[in-house]
Amino acid sequence: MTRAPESVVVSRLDDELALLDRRTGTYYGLDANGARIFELASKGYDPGRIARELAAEFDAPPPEIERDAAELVAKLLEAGLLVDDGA
Amino acid sequence: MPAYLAFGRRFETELTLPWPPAARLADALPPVRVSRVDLADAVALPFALGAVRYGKVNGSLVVDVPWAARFEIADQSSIRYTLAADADGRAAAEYFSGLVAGFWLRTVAEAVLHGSAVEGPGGAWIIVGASGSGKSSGAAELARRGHALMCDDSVPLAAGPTVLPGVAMSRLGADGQDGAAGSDGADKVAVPPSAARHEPCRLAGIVRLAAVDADRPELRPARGAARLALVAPFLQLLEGVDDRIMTLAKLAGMLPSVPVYALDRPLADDTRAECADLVERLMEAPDLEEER
Repeated sequence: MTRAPESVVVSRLDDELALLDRRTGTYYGLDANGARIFELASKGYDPGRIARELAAEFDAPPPEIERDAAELVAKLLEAGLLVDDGA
Repeated sequence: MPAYLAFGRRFETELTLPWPPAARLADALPPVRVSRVDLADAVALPFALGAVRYGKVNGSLVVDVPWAARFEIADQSSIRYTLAADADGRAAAEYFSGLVAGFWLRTVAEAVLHGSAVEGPGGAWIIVGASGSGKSSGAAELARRGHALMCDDSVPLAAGPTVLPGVAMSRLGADGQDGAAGSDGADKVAVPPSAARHEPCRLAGIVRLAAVDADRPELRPARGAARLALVAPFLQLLEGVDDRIMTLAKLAGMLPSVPVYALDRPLADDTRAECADLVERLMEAPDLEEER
């Protein structure tokens, strides 16, 4: 189950997000689509569920959304902006 | 005791500061007492700015300028200092009005930007930019047109968001003699102290000015996270004092309600009048460019 670690401060700017990592002192910007995926992933949603949630919002077929979500979640996990508790 | 007007406060001190004297009108401003005392023996301070050392000791921020004085900033209203051996107060006053005041700003500001601020009809506009971008001369041009100058060089931001006033005479001087140029060598434009504002002011917008290879000035609105990316490089951060990420988060928290623009001006030409025209247009209609 994925979530945002306490070391990450999330700031909303319009419909986008800035993710500020206290461990590394760096910050990242997520566009509106990335922000929605991050918000759902930080609630523990897996890419399949994210795709189902966002199918109505995004103008793309669910398999494509799921692929994009999985790719972004993997990058966020690698950067330490999400952690996976494995539950 | 002499008193000086700076940062919207009344600084009471025996040091002779290069700041405007606080007139009677300033009696209502919050006081900052800068008292000469015999501080306890120096302790090792962990951080350095050249030969100046600083750090937190028992909750106070201590700044040690070995050839001038050691300053102890207890809180936003109380500063104590001990003169260095054989030092008179002149060096202490010089360092207090510049470096140490910058440390003190951290007790009243959520974040400090490297830039200038002028007051427009709807609030304060901040111009940030790299050295040589023309922000000081741009702000001076706006001041010449009648906009109150709030800050030059350092712009303190507080919750609201609001811009706290700086020291208008410090660099854009009243008489054009005392460091009237920006530190980046910008042209000198004298600003009378009467044109300066001494009270906090709502933050109305931010313009990031840059000198680029272009034919004419170009103004672009920034949206979303790009706002933070545009402004964040101009945060003034002190190692060991400012938490970079928390300061970024505070800045990010201020930006959703504030229009942010990138203004690119030609490298070689003197376009301060055109740039000032564009900023004045934003002052009148901050969302004008975003509606296009």
